[in-house]
Amino acid sequence: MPPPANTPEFGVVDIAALDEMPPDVTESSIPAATRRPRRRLSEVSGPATPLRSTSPSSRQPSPSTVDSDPSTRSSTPVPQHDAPSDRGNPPSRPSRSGLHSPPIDYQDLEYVDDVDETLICPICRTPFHEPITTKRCGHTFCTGCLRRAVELQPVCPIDRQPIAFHPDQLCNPRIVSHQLDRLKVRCPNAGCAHVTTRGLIGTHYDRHCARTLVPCPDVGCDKLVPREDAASEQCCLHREVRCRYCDVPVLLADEERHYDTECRGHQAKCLLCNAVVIRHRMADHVANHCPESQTVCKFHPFGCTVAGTRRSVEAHEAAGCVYEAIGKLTRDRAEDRAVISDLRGRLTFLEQRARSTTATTAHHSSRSPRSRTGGNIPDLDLSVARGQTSQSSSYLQDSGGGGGNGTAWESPEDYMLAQFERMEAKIEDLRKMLTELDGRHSMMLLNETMPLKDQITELRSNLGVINMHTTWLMNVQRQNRVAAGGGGSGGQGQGQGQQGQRSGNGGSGGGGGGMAAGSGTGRSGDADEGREFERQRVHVAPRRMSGENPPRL
Amino acid sequence: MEDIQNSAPGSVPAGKLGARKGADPSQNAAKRLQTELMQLMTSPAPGVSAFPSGDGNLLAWNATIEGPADTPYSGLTFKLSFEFPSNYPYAPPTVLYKTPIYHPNVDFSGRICLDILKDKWTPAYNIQSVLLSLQSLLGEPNNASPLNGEAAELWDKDPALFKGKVMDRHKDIGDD
Repeated sequence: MPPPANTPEFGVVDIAALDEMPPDVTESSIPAATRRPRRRLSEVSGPATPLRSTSPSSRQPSPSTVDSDPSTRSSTPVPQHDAPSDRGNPPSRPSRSGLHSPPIDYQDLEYVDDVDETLICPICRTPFHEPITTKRCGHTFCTGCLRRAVELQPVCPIDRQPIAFHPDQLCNPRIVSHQLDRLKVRCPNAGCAHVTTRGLIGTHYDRHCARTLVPCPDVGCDKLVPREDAASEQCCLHREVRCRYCDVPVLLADEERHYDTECRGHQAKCLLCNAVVIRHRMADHVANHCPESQTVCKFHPFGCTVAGTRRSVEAHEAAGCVYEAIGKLTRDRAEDRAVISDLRGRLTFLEQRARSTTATTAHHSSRSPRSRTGGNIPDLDLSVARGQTSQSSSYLQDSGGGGGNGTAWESPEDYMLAQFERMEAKIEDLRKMLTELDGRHSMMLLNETMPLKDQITELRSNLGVINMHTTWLMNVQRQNRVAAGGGGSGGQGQGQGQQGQRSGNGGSGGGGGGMAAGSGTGRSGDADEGREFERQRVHVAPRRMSGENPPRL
Repeated sequence: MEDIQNSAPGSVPAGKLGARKGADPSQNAAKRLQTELMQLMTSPAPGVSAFPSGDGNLLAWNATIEGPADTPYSGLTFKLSFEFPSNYPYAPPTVLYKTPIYHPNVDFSGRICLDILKDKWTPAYNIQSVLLSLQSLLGEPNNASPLNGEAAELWDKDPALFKGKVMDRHKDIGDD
């Protein structure tokens, strides 16, 4: 059976992997990672439509090519379109073995930092991929590059020493591989900004990256879609949907791209800021970028109440939100607390060690007098001392302290004493650090509370002024009442009192002012009635005042 | 995949070679040339330069070599053309002098006789190293295997006349 025209779309078996295999190995036993076609992403995700129009018999070439070799048939799962009962059965998916995102092209990776020239293959001029070193002359190349070079001419490409591509003449430079694995690279998938070491990029690409192509969720479909789309949609992504703007039929898998690039009128003006944005991304624009959309200060969680257009809020944030200090303080406090607890742990550790060192020293000096030299000391003690050395030096390394751990000691006692002294010094250091931290904290707190205190004082003084006003007004009222009781000019007195009352109420925030004002307008000079009313007011007023204003003067 | 599946197990290497020569190499060549271009831009070697010829085809380059001091070519600039095969760097580029040059190892049509551009080529060579080799060839011709016998003779016999012939032959050509 002639191979269908579209076979290259499906797993072209990795040639390099085949070389190492016995010729009768079936396709399904090739590890998944090496089975994928050496192809670039764009080529695979490219022309989907021609494939759809091919006849059903050639639609799934992998089963048909497998059929041509009966010996492989038994180990290959039955293709889905032959057995409808397999539909929707996840374990049967691996049978679409040709369907895979292309493997990472290590020679096409983008490196974050400059790569040292010594790690560059002289043949492909990129950092080594699967480095291999010639045993005779010690030159290193990518395995693939050297294989091809030797195929054409069996000499080392650097110095023309005769070599053969044979395991006896080549070795694997581990240290080079490790160095290469530590290089930082970007994920090769477009739209993924992930950066990791080269040793881990394969895992990211194969298992985690949302942009890696995986088989379409529909087991009957033979195309690839990005992993994120496959996870969000459970149906086949290669059916046509109508564009919601221009009503053109598009493939579901291409929907986003259609909206972003080719949809008629895919660009629109933001109604708020007038910027030209992709219509489909308008919601995101308004929510996260538009300078005219409503938002809140980023220190909102810490109590800031500023809200408004993004432009104004950003200006506010740039000018320095007062709550920023609180946010920073909270964060700093958490960090400091972690540091303190860490230091405390170390302190405990040091104290324990100091104690045990003291004990050992005491024990030791009681057993062997100081005058003994190192040569006479029993092996046991020496081994203890050595153990101490290695332990303490490893500790010193991680705490950043240094010095002295390589010195030869005259006797274990000296060593113990020196060690003990160092421990003490360390503990002292830690104590100092703790004190300093404590001091810094109090200072920060003080700095923060100072303005608050000032404000409180100001508020209190304001309160005093208001109270004084109230007292004065009460006095005026009382005097008025006395005057009204004495003379016949009650109307005038009431008028004054009423006026005073009004302004007094205004001063205390307008609470309860309506009653006095309302009754005041209805008054017609009836002295008796007015007097009665005023009496009530006077009785009521002080109580209410004392209720509203807490006695804090 | 069809190569593998439809052929007998023993013929896998042949299929492999076919696949290798099919789709991959020209892309590999372009990739490698791109890296070389980058390297030439960032760390140029003194006296030599090279750049793709500009019609979007990375497999054709133009290069220049300045004649080294203390040689008959001192002060002269020579233009060359590079044509890369699709399986570069596994095969050498074809290098021609575009500027007429009087040299024992270069014939009158600009063809160069240099072992590293023929059988001694290895994939570890690159444009820069080829250019530097050509530059040193200007000062140290290989008179044992001349393309221009007269020049090979004059080199040792009459340096002054040689210099004169070099100057006669050298003509600057435009960028066309």
